Amino acid sequence: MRNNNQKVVLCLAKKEYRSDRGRSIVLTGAVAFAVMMLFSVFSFASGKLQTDMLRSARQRGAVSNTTLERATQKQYEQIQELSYIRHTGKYIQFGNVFGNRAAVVDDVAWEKIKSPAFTDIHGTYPEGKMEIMFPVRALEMMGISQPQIGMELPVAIEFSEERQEEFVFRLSGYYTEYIDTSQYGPPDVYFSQAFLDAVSDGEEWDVTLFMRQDDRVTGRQVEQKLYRDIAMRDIKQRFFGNNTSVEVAVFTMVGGFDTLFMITVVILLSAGLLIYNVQYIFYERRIREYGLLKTLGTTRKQLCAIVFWQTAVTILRGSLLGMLAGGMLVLLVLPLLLSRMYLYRIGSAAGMITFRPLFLVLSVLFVSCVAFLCSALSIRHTMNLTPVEAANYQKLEAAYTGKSVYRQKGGGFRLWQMAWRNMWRFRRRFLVSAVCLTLGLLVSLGVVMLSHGVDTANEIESVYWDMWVNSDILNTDYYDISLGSHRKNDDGTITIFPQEFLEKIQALPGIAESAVTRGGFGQVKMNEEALALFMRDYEWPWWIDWATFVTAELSGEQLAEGRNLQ
Amino acid sequence: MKVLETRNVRKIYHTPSGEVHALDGVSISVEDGQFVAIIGSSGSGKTTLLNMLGGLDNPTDGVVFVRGEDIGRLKVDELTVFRRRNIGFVFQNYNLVPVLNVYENIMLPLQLDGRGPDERFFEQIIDTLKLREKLDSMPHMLSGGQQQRVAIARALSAKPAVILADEPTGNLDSVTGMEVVGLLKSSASLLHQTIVVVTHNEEIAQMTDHIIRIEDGKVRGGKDEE
Ligand SMILES: Nc1ncnc2c1ncn2[C@@H]1O[C@H](COP(=O)(O)OP(=O)(O)OP(=O)(O)O)[C@@H](O)[C@H]1O
Ligand SMILES: [Mg+2]
Repeated sequence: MRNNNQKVVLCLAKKEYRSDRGRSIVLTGAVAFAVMMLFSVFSFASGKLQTDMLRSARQRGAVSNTTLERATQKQYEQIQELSYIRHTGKYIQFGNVFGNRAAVVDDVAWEKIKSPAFTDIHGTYPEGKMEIMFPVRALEMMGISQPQIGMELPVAIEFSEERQEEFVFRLSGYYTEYIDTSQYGPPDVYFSQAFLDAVSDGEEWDVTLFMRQDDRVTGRQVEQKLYRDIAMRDIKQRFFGNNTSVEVAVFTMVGGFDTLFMITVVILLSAGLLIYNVQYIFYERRIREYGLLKTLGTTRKQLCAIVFWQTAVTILRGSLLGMLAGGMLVLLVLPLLLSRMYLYRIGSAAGMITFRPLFLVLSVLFVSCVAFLCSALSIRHTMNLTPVEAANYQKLEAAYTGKSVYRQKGGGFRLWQMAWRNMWRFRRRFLVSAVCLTLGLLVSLGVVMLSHGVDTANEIESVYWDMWVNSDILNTDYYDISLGSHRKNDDGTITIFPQEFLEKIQALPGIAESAVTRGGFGQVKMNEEALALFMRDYEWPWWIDWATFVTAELSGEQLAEGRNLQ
Repeated sequence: MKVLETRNVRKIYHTPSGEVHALDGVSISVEDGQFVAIIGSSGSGKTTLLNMLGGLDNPTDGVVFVRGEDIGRLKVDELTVFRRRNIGFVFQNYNLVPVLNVYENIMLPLQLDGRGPDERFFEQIIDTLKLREKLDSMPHMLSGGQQQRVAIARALSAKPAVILADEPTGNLDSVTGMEVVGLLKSSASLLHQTIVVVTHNEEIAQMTDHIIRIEDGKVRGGKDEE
């Protein structure tokens, strides 16, 4: 308005702000807390999401989700055209090497689908005819603990049951994988296309297509779309669509995208309400002062200047503080939490927990918006009050605290009546407080749930027993009865896992824990020293799986050695 | 010329114990340059009437004119600016902005309007109101009477056409009270201001040009003029 003096207004704003240090501390604290909360919750969630994604990709040994076996060149070309498929790579398995798959993949499959699920990749994918790339796990089984690029390796390839040949290869690279072999089979030993061409003899190998779909397309959706868009070669050919890592990660964390959205809304709401509530409480205290200022000639614009200046200072300080605290939390505490919690045994995830400035900016932006909105609302409220109403606002306050100006006439009113009246009179504040409290509880509950749900240590414990002993009654003749996992009694009945057997196993050195599932299978857990013992100097045929191998050796000489070691 | 005029103003407050008719059809007018007293018993509606005259509250019914302007028709900010240029207030209580010192409080309406003070007039005011020692003090350090004197200084310093004072001498001893009223009166004649004071003090009432007596929200008699 005409001829407004902004200087006095600013001075007023500053003096007002400084006059109540308690208020400025609480307001700044609320902003800082909200910024910190939003920033760390979203960083935590995204870190968790990323880590889960990485985890599931590493366990699968690929970041692709959908496969098509026995694909034709035409199908390959058609699929490449599809908008919802990001990458398509070719994969050919032509045999086995030491229990691993002998495979050839094209550039896309290696670059975009396979290698992102591995770590510590040394060297390059095989180019030359006699080049080979090994997973470290396989090299170790071959007794090579310190591989050198370029070293010569004699390798026996089993092309089929009938055809087995040995070649000498040059190691062009090696990598570390974390494939969960019990679910996804053994890892790949990679060869060059040139080698495959040379040994093919005109044989046509089955091509498997690895497809990486858009993150938001679910496994079922992608299957449906693919069946619609691509003609199948025959009725046996099928697409196998899996959910993307993103979806799996979201699912394991909160149960789905919709819950994720809801949780986000709840978190934002609680941060917003915190700011609103704190500002509202302090605003109410100042209505009378605003009323006086208005009486003395403070216009809307001037009041805006006062309030917004104060809000800006609060936001600036609070945001800086919140950024500092949140940044520290995210940079120092979260990595510790996340890596301890879920990357146990699945490789490092140091790169996953990053400081995301975008989240910080968004958190600050959100909190600022809410704070300014609340300020604008309080100004509007003041402006709609006449000075007398503003002055009387405090009287209601007084009534609330019992120093009533309008005390009920006659002494006969009861406490609960007053309580009810007050609750009704302050229903907005009451409601907001109630909602705020509920949300606060919800969020803290969510945090507890998240940090517990996130702790997959238990899952790892149960899924990754080091060894199990299977007693298959139908094949009693086939299994080595001397193992003692079951016993034919005199009356012809069979006792599975007799007590002596279990005791014997539990008494073995290195057995930390064991459990028996009757009717199903028994599981034995060993620590790594015990395993190393069995694996030592052992060349291991690919068709023998871990547990069988370890079990077979249980009663052997190596155990005696183990005992001696102790 | 009528500087202040109300026509059939009504104010009804709705309280939990029923309706309160604080003003019940009040029609008064105050001439330019007059010094007017409003008297009446406690709760009779004096403050309410003063608030209506200053545009601090909306009447339930009726119109209020200040210097010929129907203030009920002004928008919020127009009324605010109109008020700070034309009306000075002294309230019964809660007069001062707590975060500003005495000097700043006195200067606030002028500064909000972007005007500078009239130094000589200012000096005269603070001497008469005995505020020189207190210019740097904060309101909470002042006694009730001192606070009231600051409020009077503030109302005078902007040289408004109208001063509305609600028991300005309520917290003052009778000597100071008379001095303050003297100041108001001389300022009024000097600057040709119109002054309305609410008072319980008969002596002060007798010093005025005109007395408006209020009883139960209604104007009584009106024949008390001297
Ligand atoms: N905000 C309000 N809400 C409800 N009733 C009110 C309000 N303000 C005033 N009243 C009532 O209106 C009537 C007039 O009040 P007012 O303050 O004008 O009296 P007054 O003449 O100034 O009294 P006093 O001499 O004690 O200051 C009183 O009955 C009072 O209770
Ligand atoms: Mg009064």
